[in-house]
Amino acid sequence: MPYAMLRYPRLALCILVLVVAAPLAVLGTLEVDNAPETYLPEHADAVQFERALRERFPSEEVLIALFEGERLFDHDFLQVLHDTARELEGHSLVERVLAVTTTESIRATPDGFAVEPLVDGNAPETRPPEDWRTRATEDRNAAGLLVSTDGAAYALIVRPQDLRGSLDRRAVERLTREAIASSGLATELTAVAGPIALDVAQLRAMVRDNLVFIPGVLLLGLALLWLLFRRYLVLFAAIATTAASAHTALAMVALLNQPFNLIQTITAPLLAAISMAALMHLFNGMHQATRTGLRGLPRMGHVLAAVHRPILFTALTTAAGLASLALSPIQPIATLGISAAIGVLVIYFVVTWLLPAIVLRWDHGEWDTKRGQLRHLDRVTRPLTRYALRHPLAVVIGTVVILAIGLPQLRHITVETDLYRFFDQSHSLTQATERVEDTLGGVMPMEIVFDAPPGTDLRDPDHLRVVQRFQEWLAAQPEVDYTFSLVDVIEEMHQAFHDGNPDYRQLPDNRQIIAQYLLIYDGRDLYDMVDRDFERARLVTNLNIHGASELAAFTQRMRDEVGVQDTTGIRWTTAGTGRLFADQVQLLIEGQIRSLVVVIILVFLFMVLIWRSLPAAALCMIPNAAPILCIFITMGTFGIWLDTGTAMIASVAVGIAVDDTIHLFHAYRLRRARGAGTVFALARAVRGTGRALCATTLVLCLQFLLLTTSDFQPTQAFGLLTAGALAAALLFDLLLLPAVLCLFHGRTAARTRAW
Amino acid sequence: MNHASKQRRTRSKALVALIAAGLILTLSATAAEAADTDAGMALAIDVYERPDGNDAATRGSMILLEEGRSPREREMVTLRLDRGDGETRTLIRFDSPADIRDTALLMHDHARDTTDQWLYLPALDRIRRIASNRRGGRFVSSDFFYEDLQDRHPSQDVHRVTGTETIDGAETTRLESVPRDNGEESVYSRRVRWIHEETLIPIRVDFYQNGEEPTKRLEVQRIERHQGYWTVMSSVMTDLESGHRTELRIDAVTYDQGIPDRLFVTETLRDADAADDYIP
Repeated sequence: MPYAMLRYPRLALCILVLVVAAPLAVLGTLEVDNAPETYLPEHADAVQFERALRERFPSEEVLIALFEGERLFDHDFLQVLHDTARELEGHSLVERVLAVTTTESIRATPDGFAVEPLVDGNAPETRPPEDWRTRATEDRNAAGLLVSTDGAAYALIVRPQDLRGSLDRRAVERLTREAIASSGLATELTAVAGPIALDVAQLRAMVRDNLVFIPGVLLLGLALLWLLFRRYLVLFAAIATTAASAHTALAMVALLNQPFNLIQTITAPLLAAISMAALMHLFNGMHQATRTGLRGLPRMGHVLAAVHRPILFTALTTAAGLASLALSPIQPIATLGISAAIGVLVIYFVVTWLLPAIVLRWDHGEWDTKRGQLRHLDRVTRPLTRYALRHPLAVVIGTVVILAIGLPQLRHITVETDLYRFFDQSHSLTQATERVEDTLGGVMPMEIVFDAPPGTDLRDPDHLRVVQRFQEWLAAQPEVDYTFSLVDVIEEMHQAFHDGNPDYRQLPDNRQIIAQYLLIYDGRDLYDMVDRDFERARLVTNLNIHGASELAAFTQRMRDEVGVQDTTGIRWTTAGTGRLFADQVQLLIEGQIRSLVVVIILVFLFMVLIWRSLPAAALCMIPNAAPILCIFITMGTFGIWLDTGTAMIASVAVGIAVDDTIHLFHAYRLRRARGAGTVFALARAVRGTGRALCATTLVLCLQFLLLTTSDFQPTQAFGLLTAGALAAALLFDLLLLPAVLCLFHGRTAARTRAW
Repeated sequence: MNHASKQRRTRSKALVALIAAGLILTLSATAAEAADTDAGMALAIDVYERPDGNDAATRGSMILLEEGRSPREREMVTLRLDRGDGETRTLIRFDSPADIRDTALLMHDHARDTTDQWLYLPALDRIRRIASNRRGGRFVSSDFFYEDLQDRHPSQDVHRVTGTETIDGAETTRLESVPRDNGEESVYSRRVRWIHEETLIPIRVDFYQNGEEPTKRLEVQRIERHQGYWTVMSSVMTDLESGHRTELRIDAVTYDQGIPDRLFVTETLRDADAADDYIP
């Protein structure tokens, strides 16, 4: 028990140092990776298929540098562009650089054919700039992907080697920007976008968030603790508790072999906030014990007797809330749940086992008992509770009516994750993405992968016609800006072998012709589209939609309209970033429902355990279920998406908010047990705990509101809604809980056992 | 003479000695480098001029290898004719699999490293010329580039002997070759060859493309002497980035049959039986 530890302050200090420092040894192995596939479970079909696909085909995770201006096809500019592309290709992190000077074009020559660069970067002077421009804009492979239709813009697309995490992606972005700057191309550079740029922007947001949130949340908490207790040891305790819990939680992320990403940035501020709340209860107990005249060991014993169980129970309920996130199939959410739950248990351990011994041994000064700074909070708590006690029926009916009015808004909740709306309109990445989409076309890659029936291959014209029909359907859809497949390569070869006659831009009927074209194709691009056995081919598309539900709906439409056509035994599957995000929608819904059900059951079970009464546990769930409903009504009303950030709110908010209920109900039961009537017991309970509840909720709200300064929209929404939910929970604790108790027990009931 | 001027003189002497030593070192290094370069060029010429007959005919296979996949084999025959003065003619015809049977490639390598190439596609019954600048183009979708099939004249590169090494028990001299023309006439920025001292055959070649690490590696697996000529019977080209490999295997070879020039004209590409008398 914690009491035993009071005799070993040095041991407590050593353990504290160990708990703070030991996790640091593991933190070095923590990888930073925010790639889309890290958001899905390893066993997810989309992830497994993606892995298998990338063993043979290049990744769609690219960096797009967009150039615009009159000079683009000038000989010197093309020469420098080509040199820059070659320089970048020499880098170990880069697999391929696609530019007008490096991408291949199949064309007829006077007495033959050639697979050659679209624009000859080694000898651009062989043609006038306008010829190069025309040639580039007329190329089926390049137009819409590399070159704008009017030739006023083109892209340099950097395709990396297998990257290990976000730091590698940042390295690719940096070296590309440096190469462009040193070559003098920067004057025409108008945007840097694509999946790598998005990941780098997220990395920057992550670094910035950590630099702001951790000290910000800590400073807010420290300021409040200083205001309340004016002791350096309290500040030391706060910093040590936060460090111990945050370090342990992040070490857990590493031990779980999971990367650190934007979701995990919430961990440290969340634990800092919970640390402050727990410490406030410990030192509030110190203060109250001092007022009774106790000193030294008796005082600390008294403090522990008063706060140990509430802190344990609140830690367990908060940890349960967070641990329920482990059921989310979205991997970073599950990781956050597990690691933060362990962090919360560390907070309990440090606050009730270690700090009391340290305070007892090294705290010598007198505690100021004239705290009056929080008395103003009574102006909030007392009128609310007074109203609830006088008009309990009106409060309950009013609450039910308000929630009932809001209920229809639940239908308007949109489950959505949009890669390119992670940042607001003014963010440079959003603007760069829009620029690329306006000039070239959509940037969301989605691939359709075709597998030939066993024993056959995709050189069979009937199989290729399936791909062709699919491609034609896709090209006609408004969501699709670009398509390219093996069929295009074969059609171009066929045309080139017939003196460039456009009539031959079609798929030959003869398997031998196709096989011989594919045999003699001597470029690099063919095996980006088909494997060497010709058993698996991919149809590459760029879509102008980004949202996961939009992508899921598009995939479903594709399945409905094309999937029913005769596919001669060919199997097709979607892949790429588009597929990964489309699959997230279902997982988000599943995860949200699962973790919500589990958190409610767990909290209820803890309540039963604490109060040893089913009705009491059920009653205490009311003020905690209501804020969840409020969150979802707010999301439905204001169009806030249920995404990777907001999916965590309900579990986190319930886990934290229930702490107030426990403190208030515990105080109420104590008074009822001493024979007080319902109203008197409630009034005294609010008087005794109301200030502390208000103060902790205030500081928690402020700390969560700090998250709204993030550039990352899901973090903003998480901070805002969690703060709102905690405020609502306090309101329900001070208003609804007393009203329900009054109705349940009768206002004048006295000397009856509460439960 | 005062102490200060003595000190200055001593310093001047030390400086002169230092410069002289530096010069000697630089000159020595330059001389050593020049010696390496001379030896490199001599070795490169020896390799280029290695006896390999006036003509040769082979029957063999190209096998495409990829991890986790079954090998894909293409049977083929080749004819080569050296006309002297750097003029070489090569004809390659595929026998299997069925859908590429009789597809043929004709190459005319000219002095000073220019090449004319024609392809015959039997399914279309058409002969088309391939653009001559496709050095980096993949030869029939293998890991060999067209450039790898051609003998590059030593004068096009700067050669340097960089040491000796024993590979699988064979003594080799390591020869580094860098294009003189800043890479415009080659897809490679550098080649490092391990020259087998006895046969003058490069038994390993590392190919570099704009980077510090090789992108491809050729490894000779079997050498045999036929009609007095050392012949590479099996070699594997590995794409070090993707891991794909292409094995070239010769099952039979015959030298100096007097293969006529008429077999190396475009019209003969259509006649799959024209060279039958010379195929081993």
